[in-house]
Amino acid sequence: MAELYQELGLTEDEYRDIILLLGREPSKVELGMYSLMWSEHCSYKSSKMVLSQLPTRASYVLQGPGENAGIIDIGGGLAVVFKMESHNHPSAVEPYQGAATGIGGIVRDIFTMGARPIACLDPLRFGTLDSPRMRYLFGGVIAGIAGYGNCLGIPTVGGDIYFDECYEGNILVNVMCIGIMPKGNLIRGQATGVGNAVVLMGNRTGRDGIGGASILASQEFDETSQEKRPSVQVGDPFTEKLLIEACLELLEKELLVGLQDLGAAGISCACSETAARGGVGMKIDLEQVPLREEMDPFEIMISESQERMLAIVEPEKLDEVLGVCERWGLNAVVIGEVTEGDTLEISWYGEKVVEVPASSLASGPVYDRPAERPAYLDEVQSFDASTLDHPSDLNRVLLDLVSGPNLCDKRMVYEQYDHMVQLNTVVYPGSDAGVLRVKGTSKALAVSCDGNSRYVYLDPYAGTQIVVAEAARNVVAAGGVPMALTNCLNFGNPERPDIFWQFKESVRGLADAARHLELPVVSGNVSFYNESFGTSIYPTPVMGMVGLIGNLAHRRTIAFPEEGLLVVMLGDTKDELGGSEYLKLIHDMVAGRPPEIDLRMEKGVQTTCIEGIRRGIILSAHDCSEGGAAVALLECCCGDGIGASLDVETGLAPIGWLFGESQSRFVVTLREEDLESLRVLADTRGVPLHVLGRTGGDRLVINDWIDLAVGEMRSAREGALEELLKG
Amino acid sequence: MEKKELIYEGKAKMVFATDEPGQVIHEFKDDATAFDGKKRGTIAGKGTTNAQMSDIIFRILEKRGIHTHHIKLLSETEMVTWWLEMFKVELIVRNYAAGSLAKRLGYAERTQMKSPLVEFYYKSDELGDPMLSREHIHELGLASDAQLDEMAAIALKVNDILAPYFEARGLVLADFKLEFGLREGRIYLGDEFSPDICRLWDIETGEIMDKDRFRQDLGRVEETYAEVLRRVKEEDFGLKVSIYVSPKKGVLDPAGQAALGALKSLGFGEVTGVQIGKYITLRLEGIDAEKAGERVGEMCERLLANPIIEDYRIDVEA
Amino acid sequence: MRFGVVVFPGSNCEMDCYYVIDKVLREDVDYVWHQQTDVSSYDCLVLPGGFSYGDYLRCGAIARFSPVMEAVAAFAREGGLVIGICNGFQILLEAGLLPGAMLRNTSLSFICRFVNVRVENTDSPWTNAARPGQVLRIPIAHGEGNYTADKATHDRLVGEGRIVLRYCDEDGEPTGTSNPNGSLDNIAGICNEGFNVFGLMPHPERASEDTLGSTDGLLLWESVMAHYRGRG
Repeated sequence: MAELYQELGLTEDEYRDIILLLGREPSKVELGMYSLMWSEHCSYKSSKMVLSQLPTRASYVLQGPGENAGIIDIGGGLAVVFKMESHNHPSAVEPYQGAATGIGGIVRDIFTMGARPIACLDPLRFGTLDSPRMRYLFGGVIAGIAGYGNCLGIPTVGGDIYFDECYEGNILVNVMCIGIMPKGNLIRGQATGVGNAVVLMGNRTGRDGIGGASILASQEFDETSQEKRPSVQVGDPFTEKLLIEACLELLEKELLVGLQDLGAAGISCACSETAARGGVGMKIDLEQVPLREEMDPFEIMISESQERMLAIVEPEKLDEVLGVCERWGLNAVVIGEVTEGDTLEISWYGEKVVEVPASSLASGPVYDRPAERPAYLDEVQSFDASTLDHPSDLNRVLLDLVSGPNLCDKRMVYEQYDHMVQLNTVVYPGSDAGVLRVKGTSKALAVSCDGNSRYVYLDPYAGTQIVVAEAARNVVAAGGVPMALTNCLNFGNPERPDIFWQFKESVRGLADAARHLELPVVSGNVSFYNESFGTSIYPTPVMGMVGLIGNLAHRRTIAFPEEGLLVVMLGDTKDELGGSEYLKLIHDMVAGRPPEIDLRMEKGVQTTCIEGIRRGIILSAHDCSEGGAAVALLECCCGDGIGASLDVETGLAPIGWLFGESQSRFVVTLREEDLESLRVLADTRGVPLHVLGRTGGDRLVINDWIDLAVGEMRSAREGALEELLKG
Repeated sequence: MEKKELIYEGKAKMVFATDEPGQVIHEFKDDATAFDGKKRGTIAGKGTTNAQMSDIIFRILEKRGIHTHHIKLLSETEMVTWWLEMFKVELIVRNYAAGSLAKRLGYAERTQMKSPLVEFYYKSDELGDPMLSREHIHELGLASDAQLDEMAAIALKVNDILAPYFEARGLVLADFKLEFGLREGRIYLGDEFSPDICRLWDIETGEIMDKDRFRQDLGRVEETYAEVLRRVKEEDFGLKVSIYVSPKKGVLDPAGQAALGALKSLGFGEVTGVQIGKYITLRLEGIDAEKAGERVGEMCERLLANPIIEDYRIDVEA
Repeated sequence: MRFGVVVFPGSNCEMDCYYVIDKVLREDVDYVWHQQTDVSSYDCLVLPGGFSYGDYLRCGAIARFSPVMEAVAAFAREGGLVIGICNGFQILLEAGLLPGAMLRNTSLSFICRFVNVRVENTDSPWTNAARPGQVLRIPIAHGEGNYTADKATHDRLVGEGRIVLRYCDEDGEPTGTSNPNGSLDNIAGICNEGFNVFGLMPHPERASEDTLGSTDGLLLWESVMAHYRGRG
């Protein structure tokens, strides 16, 4: 037993706790279950305490963290369900299947709450494309997301992709899914009603991912990682599609008491969590589980075979439920029943193999790990940008920035995703946020995900606040009022005090920003142990923001829409090059402090923009982020091919104004006659407004700093990624 | 595990104590007897065959929920099991009439029973293992009604599992004998499962593939036992068919082109052509090789290949 | 006019087609489950896009054996109107209701984007509302849209005017670069001999509303409705 618990990833203390809990030594199957349920990935033992400071409530939040996904009320009897998750480690081992099953998992989290999934977003992080291995991982991940998502008929409408050396040993594959449903459809993952049947639906159980959660997600990669390959699950999107349709039909016909998807820790997790949430017990006959191959009870309990759901059904509705599943060609089998009490009892051909308190599996240990400010911070923060020698050919700098992998056009990626299916996408990928109309209403959802990890590396607290602000800003640029967010917090090894300090500071920043911007965090995911050979990734908290556009007519894109419009910047540009793309690409440095973030100003700029859009004043909007104002303006020109002539008055050096990444700024266009109205909106909120110039022609001209043809700019950013992939 | 003193020696097996409490070792002998010991002989290799076959069959039964005394195979001829308090009642399940049953009922040999029959016999060498009715069993106090019910139910379940199992391997399971015992108050299946305790007939030739060959001096006993074990061990039975589906000549093969380009850029200049197709394997049972080729051809025409853009080649492997 | 949108396990554009027919065209429409064998009450059957049976084995290879397909074939033989979009087109090819077959895109990638197609023949129930040579902007979304056929079949298609849509550039030229998937002769949509069965890779339902970026797809729907009304 001793080697077994260690092999399964439990510490000696955790093992002792299990013995105390049960009053005896655990059986092999029980030990396997605890090892998974108490792993970092499932139990959040290192993060729970820290996450408790997040604001999760608002009048329109129907479901916060604690269930499979978060839910907000968008009015008109409709609710939006969304969540983000990570599938980092499996994707590094087998990129196609890792990414594919990541999509599968997050989609299940959405329809298990009762909502039809209507969109996915994928924030991805890779190492540099210099190595064949990274190009292989990149290709595999994109193909996996496409292969699975397209087959499900769920459009992937957004995401972002960043490349940095810190991700060389640990790529990040985060996936977000959004669903929509009538509020009444809400169904929870809880078992209630003693005597109700526990039904397992979907694919047969096999050896996929045996021990995946504890073995892969909770450990760093080292030389033995290649051997872990057989643990990766293989996805079957066709069966998942059938599951979506069958489950939604079952919910429409009100045939279910509870619904839970099987993800990490498979049956162990689904049964214990639903029982614990419902305050009941469960009795399972494991031999009823349909198998792909011969397996023993230990393997069946921990298998992470995909495309399986657990349903709680009243006995009188059972026949109808099985009938619906049969019509869709899905296996559905009664594997047990809900019982009185708290015990999860599992038997195998009449012999009891598990008998534990259900709630004990679902409430693992909670750790308050030691945190220590890392030594590197003082050094990197002390960097003085004024010591730099800046290149004189500013046109060249701008073109180099947008032909680099981080800022170049990502068409070759998102054209592999069906981003139009379901006929909801009204703003396609390539703008600041994806916009999905809500059929049957005049509303739309604006969705975006962001996560500049360089800023977080340089200052975890401020950097994370920027991430939250930027995600909200992107939604605002599309015309949406940000309502709530989900997140995926990707960090290194939490047992290291310096990493845990980054985590704590980051979450503190997230909590403060969310509170200030009045954005509840309704769901999320933490991924630790993103480290290889002792080197951690940059702390990478990724936010997924959902906003509401009250009237579809208020949606906006980044492109300059017409000639002869005024180009205005809302917000001030300061002298700050710290953490900028310019600094990294041209000077190969990640240093300094991230740009200042003043949440009050941020809020003011965002509301000015929303009001401006609502009143029809602002005709296009683009937030300024990586690459600074210059890149933002270039992207506005490339949209519809309309250039601009701009006259910038500033005390800053050209490089500073063009490529500094000051926060709380938008580049907007409007008609001249509306300028005063916009000024009023800005002034009342204390928001600076700078008229930069006008749209028109086929060149982007900024002072005597930048003078580029639209064609040239387009050529620089389009096709760049394909070139880099050629190696 | 340490093999200790001999507890008991039967006609075909010896049982030894071990240093593990409750566990014993069954050693399978090559000795064979029949007709209450009147006929004696040796079947070379029988000890090995029966030990291995018992190991395989018991493991199959265990996986299907039948509790047996089987723990593991220790050596070629030795099996570690739980020590059971054996019932002195043996059960025989009959699917077809043979031997004593044919005589008793006046049936022709090999008549199929309307449904599988369960018979009880007294495990007594002196009395010649007579058949018993439930009343006899009560009189002798050999087992309670409930226990008999349970044993009979298990026996029929074993039949449900093994009859198709052997059929898939080209053998009819005509009848078999089971012995049960108690361990910690629960009924376990004991003894062995081998050609010594069952009747197996080859489906195609009708040939006798069990101890009857010894009883009736039909010859080739060792070879037959070995053949039965071979079929039981065989995991792949039936026909294996391989189908190679490839793009038709003249049809564009973009995947093949891409692979060709990639190979060349990796320095494999000697490659002048790449075709990427599909490899499909089928497993067929209950059909001969020639018919299989025909049927698989039909499968290809209708589903597995698209004749407009694909060619296929079929390989039937017996 | 009554439309029937066939639903196979794995179809995913049936809801989109239903929505357009119901809300935009405002015609009667039903879903037709793949196990149904009676399609007599419909005037036009739609085989929508998606990944029927996961596209396992070959696209449409398994769906073509669904019970409903026999009824669809009989319906087509009697001149009934059948349109197969994307995966629907693939199913019609596998079922032999249209000649030729589909290969993987030459780029070996799935492609989702707006393309231009030229209307080659307006003498069909599907394109009578368009002008000859009119360029329509309609999106594609597929990984296997590379249409192929042997020379004899191709000659027939050309000779009988059964190539209805070809990929082209903005000016209507069927160039190499405007061909997104390498299909033979830039073929994007074809008809059977009777012109009552139409298969196309682009998705007209995705170009039937202004909000989504193009209403050129409407022309195809309006054509078939006009044809139906004209037929009485």
